[in-house]
Amino acid sequence: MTSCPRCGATRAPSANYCPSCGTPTLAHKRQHRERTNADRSRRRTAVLALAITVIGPLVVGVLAYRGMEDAAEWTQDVAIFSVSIASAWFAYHLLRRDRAQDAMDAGQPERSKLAGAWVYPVAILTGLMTWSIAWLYVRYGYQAFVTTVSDDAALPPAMTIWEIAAIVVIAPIVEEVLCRGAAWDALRRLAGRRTTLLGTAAIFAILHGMNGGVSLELPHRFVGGVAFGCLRLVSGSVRPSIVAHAVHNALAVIV
Amino acid sequence: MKSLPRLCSHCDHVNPSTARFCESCGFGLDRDFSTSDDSRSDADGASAKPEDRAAKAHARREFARIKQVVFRLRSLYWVIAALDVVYLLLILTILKRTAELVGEEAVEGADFAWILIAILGGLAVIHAIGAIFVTRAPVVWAIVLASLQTLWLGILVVSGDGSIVEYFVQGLLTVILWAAVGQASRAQQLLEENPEFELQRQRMDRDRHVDGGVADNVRSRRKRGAERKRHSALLVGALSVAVLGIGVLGVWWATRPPSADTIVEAFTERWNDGKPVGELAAYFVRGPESGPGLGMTEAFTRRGWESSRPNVSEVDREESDHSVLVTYRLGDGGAADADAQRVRASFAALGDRWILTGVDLPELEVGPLDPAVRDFEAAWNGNGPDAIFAMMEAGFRDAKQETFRRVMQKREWFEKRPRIADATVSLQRNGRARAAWELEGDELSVKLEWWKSEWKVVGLRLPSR
Repeated sequence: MTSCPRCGATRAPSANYCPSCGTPTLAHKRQHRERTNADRSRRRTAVLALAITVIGPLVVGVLAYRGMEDAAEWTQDVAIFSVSIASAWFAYHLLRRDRAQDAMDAGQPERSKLAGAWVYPVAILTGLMTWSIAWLYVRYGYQAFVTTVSDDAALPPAMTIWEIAAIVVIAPIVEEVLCRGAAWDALRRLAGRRTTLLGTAAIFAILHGMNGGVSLELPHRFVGGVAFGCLRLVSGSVRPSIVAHAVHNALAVIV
Repeated sequence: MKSLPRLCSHCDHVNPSTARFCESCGFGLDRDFSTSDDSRSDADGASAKPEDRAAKAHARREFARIKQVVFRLRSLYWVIAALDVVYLLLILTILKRTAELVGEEAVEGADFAWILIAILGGLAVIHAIGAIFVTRAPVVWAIVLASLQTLWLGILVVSGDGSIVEYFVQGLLTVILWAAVGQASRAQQLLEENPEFELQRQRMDRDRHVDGGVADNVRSRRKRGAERKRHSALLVGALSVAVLGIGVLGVWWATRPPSADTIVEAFTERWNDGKPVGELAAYFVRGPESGPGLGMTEAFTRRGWESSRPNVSEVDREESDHSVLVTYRLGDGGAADADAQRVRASFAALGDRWILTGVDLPELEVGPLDPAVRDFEAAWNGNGPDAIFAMMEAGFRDAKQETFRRVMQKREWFEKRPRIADATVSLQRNGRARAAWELEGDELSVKLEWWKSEWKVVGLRLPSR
């Protein structure tokens, strides 16, 4: 038995508070402080990881689209893709340190509600739906501002295999790993599922605004981000959202 | 008589009979702490430990500090939204003044200005929405603001327009905003863990609040009701979006660009029906008055094909996603060089329609050049300028006749000119030729073009003096 330094009442060694005056014990205060510090450290790491996933691609994207205007398009793509992959890897590396602790806190890892193979048809439908919305927005909203017709306007040249692969395969993988992978994991440590869904969709939209469209690009990209995020949420995996994103981009290329 | 141990209604810990405070969680045992559901579950519905009194007190202090960050974010959103509106008004004023000064049609870059207005307007709306909703979803809106600030910093750095001080301030602001994301996440976490914490205006006097009391129960019931409503709204929203998606697909299907067949058939029909060349040139994006349209009109006129021409029949077609190249056989054929009797027309898709982008005609068949050169020599060596004017192409004559007349009078060549003979002749492609004579130690040169059935003068260079 120990005594309270404030009121002198005796208390059990395992007690966190004095039963007489309610003063917390020193050990309990220390334990609480350590827990708070650990929580703060994890939050700081998560914010840093989130910032990296946004800052890297955003700055290099702006640099590629505005600073490397004369460079070949494929060099811009390679620059953005490689920095995005590096940012995602770095963010994962930062978050890995706290992963064991997260698993302990959560009790069990998030279980997939739609883990079956039938999530992929849903993903294809989602890609179709997001493309439809984007097409409607671009056709009847966005193009009202950006389309001009002139004799000198170069007609869109036929796409090369590299460009098609970059749009339909590489971009969905990189963007989804970045937004629904690294950014999702980082944000999940900071907030609940709904906030994570909306936050990653906002990041996804803003990352697409870096090629000059800024606010004009945000609405349909945000809708796409929410749809892909829903797939990530219900399936617990980034793969269905990659499929949906690829379908979306493939339709954009075909049409 | 031995007293019974006291059970904590907050954490179910068994305390000594004399205890006034719970040894485990520190809550007062003299008050009835029937814990509400809200304090026992986190945002995801997982069960949580009952709150420790010290932790709760710490959370209250922390929330009091941290909510100021969210309020500052809200103020920042309002300030930026106001700045967006000011910029927008400034641009509109400048555009209006410029239009007044130089006329509506002369304002160059008007499209760019509209894009800028749309972007700024969009940003103003986003910032205003952020100012309204940042207290409800602090993390999302903190991320949006930090990301937009990062985008702005990137643009500033790449454009190289800022000063060192500006880079430093913007960079510092970016770091602060990303740090605010962490603070906002903590605020949201505290909000979700403690129902009595609010970022909105305090609705109930703190002194009258009792944990698990009527207010808590009402709040809990409202929360459950709101959740049910949200699920229904999500379901309705998903169905609406699905219907919308199918509708958009239908609209796209109905309004997709016509195939290239339509324009190719119409072009061929107009050609073979002998429609005026202007109607064929109308398929260019800017019509017959544009550069390509005028070029086509001239090429047809030189061949005498303004209103009647040999029929064409399609022999080959190369198609890609956005362009079509059609090769026609001209007339009944029979020429020695089969390739010379081909006409190629290229078409391209522009938005939702097809346009003509070019027409390649076969090489012009011209008559002998020597008689025309001899005629010019005779006209030059004869009296007066009328014979020379008669050899000129009508457009050239109308444009240059007066100048030519004045120069000839100045040189006293109007009635009689130095004699020329032995021309050097070179025949060029596409019905063009050049003839030159030695004259007064320099050269007299003439450009000739085949127009319909004869050579015409389209350029004349006199020897220098």
